[in-house]
Amino acid sequence: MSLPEHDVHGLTAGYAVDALSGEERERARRHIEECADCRRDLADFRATAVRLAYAQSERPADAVWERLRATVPTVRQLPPETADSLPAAEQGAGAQAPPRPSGESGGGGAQVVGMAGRGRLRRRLPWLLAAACAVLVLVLGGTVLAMAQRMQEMSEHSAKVEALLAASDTSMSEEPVSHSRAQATVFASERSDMVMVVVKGLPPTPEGMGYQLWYVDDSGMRSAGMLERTDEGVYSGMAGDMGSAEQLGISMEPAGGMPEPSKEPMKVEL
Amino acid sequence: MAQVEQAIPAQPPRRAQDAGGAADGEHRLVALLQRTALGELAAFEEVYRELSGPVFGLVRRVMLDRAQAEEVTQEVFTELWRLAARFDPDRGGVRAWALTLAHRRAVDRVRSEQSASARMEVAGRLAPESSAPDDVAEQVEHRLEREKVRRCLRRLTEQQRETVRLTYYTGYTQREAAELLGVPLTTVKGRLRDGLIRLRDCLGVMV
Ligand SMILES: [Zn+2]
Repeated sequence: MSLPEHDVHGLTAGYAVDALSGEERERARRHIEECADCRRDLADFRATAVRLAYAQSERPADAVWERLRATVPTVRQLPPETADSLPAAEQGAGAQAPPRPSGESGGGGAQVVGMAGRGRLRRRLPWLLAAACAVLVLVLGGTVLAMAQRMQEMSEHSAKVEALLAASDTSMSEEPVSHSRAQATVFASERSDMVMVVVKGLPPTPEGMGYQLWYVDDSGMRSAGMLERTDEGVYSGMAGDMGSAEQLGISMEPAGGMPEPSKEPMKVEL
Repeated sequence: MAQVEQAIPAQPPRRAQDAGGAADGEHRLVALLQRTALGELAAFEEVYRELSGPVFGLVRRVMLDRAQAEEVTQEVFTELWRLAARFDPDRGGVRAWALTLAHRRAVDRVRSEQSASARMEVAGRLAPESSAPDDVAEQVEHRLEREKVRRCLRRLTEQQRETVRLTYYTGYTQREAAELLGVPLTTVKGRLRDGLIRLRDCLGVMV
C-alpha cells in the first residue's frame, strides 16, 4: 500500500528519532534516499538529536571498555561499501565473490579488458586508505591479524603508500590479468607518478624465480621491480616512475630480475 | 589535499570540548574512525572515550536499566568497530551516525522486550538524572550543554515537548504516542516535526 505524497514526506521527523514501526521505517528510508528535501531535514533532525543525546551524557562503567578491548580484535571489520563508485569493492562486500569471468572471454592474444577510464572510479580520498585495507583483507582472505601484519609490512614504505593513497587523482580498479586466472587490484596516480598493485591468483613460482612487474607504453617495456609474495600467495608491488605507461606487464623471471622480459608478459590495464 | 592531511595523520589526543559539533572535533573523529577501520585499537579507544558518554547516557535514558544499557553500549561500539569503513561523511557526522545507531538499537531492544504499556508505566516516573563526567572541565561543558538543551526544550509547547520526550527519550513510536496522548497520529507527527524544528533553531544546529 502506498501513501499519498505528503504523508511520505511527513515520515522524516519520525524516522530521525526512530519513532516509526518497522514497515514505515523502511518506507521512509526509501523515500529519503530519493528526496533531497527530506534528506536535508533528516540531517537537521539528526544533528538536533545529537544534542539531545549529549544532554544525557553519562559515563558507563569501566568494564564496558574492558570487554570491548578484549572482544573487538576478533570481530571482522567490513570493507567500505562502494556500490556507487567502486565496482572492485562490490566484490569486496561479499568476500566470497568469484573472480570476474571477463579475462577468459576472448580467443587468444592479449586478453586485456579495459576500463572505461579511471575517472569514474575516482573516490573520496580519505576513504582510499580504508579501501586499500579492505582489498588487503579480501586478497588475504584474512583475519584481522593477517591484515594488521600486512599493514605493518607495508608501513616500511608507508610514506610512499600514504602518498599514493592520498594523491588527489589516485584511482583504484580491479582488473583481470591476461592469460591467467589472476585478478589485480591497481592503485595508480598520474600526478604522483606511482602505482601499487596487488595480485591474487598467480601460480607460485619455482625456487629462484619470481614475478617481475613491467611498465608497458608505446616505446616498449621498462622494469618496475619484482613483486613480493606474501604467505598467502598474494603478490604485491609498488613502483614510481610510471610515466605514460598504459599497461602493467607481469612475467616470471629469475628472482634478481631481468633488464627485459624473457617472454611476453601477462598484462594488466592501467 | 587538506582534507587528507587532516584525515590521515594522528593528531595528539585532545579532550572533547564541544558537545554539539564544532568542526574540528568532527574532523578528529573522522580521522579516528578511519584509523579504526584499519584495525587500530588505540584509535578505537579514542572514539570510545569521545562517544561513550552520550551513547551510554542516551541508551540508558531509553532503556532505564543500567546493566542492559551497558550491554547495548557494548554492542553499539562493536558495531562501530565493524562498520567503521562504511561510515559515509557525506551523510552527516560521526556523532550523528553513532548516536543514530545507538538510539535505534536501544529502541528496538525495548520494543521487543517491553510492552508499550509497561514502558508507559515507568516512563513518566523515571528519567534518570545523568551523572556528570569526572573531569572538571568536562563537567562544566556537560552542564552548560545540558542547561542549553533544557532551556530549548522549555521553549517548546507542552505538547511538542511531550512528543519529543516520548519518542526520542522513551522510544515510543508516533503511533504509540498518539494512543497514549489520545490524539490523532497526524497531530503527533506535526508536533514532533515542529518540535524538532524549534529545537534545531534554538540550539543553533548547523549541518
Ligand atoms: Zn520527501
